[in-house]
Amino acid sequence: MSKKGDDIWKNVDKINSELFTLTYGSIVAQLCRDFNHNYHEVNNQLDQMGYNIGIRLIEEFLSRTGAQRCQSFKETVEVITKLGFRVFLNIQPAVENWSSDGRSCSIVLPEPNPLNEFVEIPPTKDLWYCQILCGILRGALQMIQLDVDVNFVKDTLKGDDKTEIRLKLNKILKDEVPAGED
Amino acid sequence: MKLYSIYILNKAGGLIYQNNLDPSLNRLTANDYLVLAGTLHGVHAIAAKLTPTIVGKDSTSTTSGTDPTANNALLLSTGKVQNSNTNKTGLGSIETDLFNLYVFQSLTGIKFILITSPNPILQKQHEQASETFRHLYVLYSDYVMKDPFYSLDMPIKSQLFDLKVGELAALV
Amino acid sequence: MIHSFFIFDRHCNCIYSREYTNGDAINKTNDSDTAKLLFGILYSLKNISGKLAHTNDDSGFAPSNNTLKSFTLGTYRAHYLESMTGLKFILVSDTHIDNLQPVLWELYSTHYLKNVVHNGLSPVEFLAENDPYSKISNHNFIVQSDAYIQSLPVYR
Repeated sequence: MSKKGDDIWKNVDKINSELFTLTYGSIVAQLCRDFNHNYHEVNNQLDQMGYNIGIRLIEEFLSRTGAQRCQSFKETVEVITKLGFRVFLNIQPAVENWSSDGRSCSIVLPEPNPLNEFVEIPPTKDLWYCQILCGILRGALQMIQLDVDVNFVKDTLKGDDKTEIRLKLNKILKDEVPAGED
Repeated sequence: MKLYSIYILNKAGGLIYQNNLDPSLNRLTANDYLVLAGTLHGVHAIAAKLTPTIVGKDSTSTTSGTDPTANNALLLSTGKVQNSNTNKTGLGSIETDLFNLYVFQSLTGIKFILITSPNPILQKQHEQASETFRHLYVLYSDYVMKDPFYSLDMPIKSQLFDLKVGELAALV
Repeated sequence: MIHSFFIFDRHCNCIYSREYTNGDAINKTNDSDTAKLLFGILYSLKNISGKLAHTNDDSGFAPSNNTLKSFTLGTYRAHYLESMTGLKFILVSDTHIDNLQPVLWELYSTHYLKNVVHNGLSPVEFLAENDPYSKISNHNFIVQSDAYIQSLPVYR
């Protein structure tokens, strides 16, 4: 598979991935302690943190890539996986399992991904370790007027065969689309 | 081309940043700047309504310039940076005797307004303004969006951003 | 390419409208939303142009020494000239056409002057809507301004 987004990737500042992995890991661990291992709450907190990142990160993405409005949700997902994940995490997830109406699909993260390398999660079925990614996607898409549900359905950390994020397009916030586009 | 002023408007048309880099323009009161921003926001939206009908009722062939599908296809296939301006049918620029004004808009609805010295060769001037916008949008995403203490849609008070905008203006 | 030509009088009425690329309508769109929106935009932009420019004179006698020359709407550029008497001439072209100020001046100083002002039978104060004298329907003006605009290298 060709490595799309390479040109942009070259111009992005990089940090040591171990530092990144450890930083994220310590945040999740701290949240688990803060919320007394109430993993539902930890997931919510991670999702909210991700959302706050996403609504800002979208500007970074748009200003560095010059992406324009997509004409279909399929195109949106293609831009997210081939460019977004590539530029920010240097991975290119696969897209599969499209629903027949073209409004929901799965993003499968390649293993290992930069967030969960070295991680072994506590014996629980509740914690979605990389939940922050869902929040980021949800926040970023909301800023470009797409109301999308994003959640994990599978995680290799829990012994699943793959790490899978499900996206579902609820609606396009037409009233909020800025004037002046085509 | 000389940069006189930079304004940034949030998606509701509120003025969240202004930087008067050059004394060539009149100084207005804070309130007048807010009115000015609101007017430009409104005119931009009206212009977007007018554009499809200005050359006749059933003109749908307004899609010259960059087509968004082609833009994204090119972006995906080459990985080369494209133009992030999404202002296709709204007010794009104003040319007057004493200044030119350019309106750029991001996909998220943020407007970047650049006021420059006038230049009779409009095409070239527009390209320069466009290039300045590209750099400005990157600065915005860096020094405003990544400032953890900045709240979205609120006035931008960052001195660091001021400094970087000043550096950008000096290079233009 | 030049798409259309509008004239507004000092009372904000569209007294002449002419399509070139979309059919060849004359005075068909004077009362349309298009004309009203166009006038509204012009009015606002003129204000902005004046406000942001330095004034040489504080007495208010000459409110601004800055004039609006053109603005772009999507892929079109509207060129604008206002006479001292408040007549507004507008030509809509493609964005790549830089400057039509001399053309607008010619339309005003030659074609409008000769065929409307010098023509004793044509009003210079146009009346309200629905009146036969609310528009420029003068045959000579139409023919001569058309011929002039169509002879320009930028017309096609």
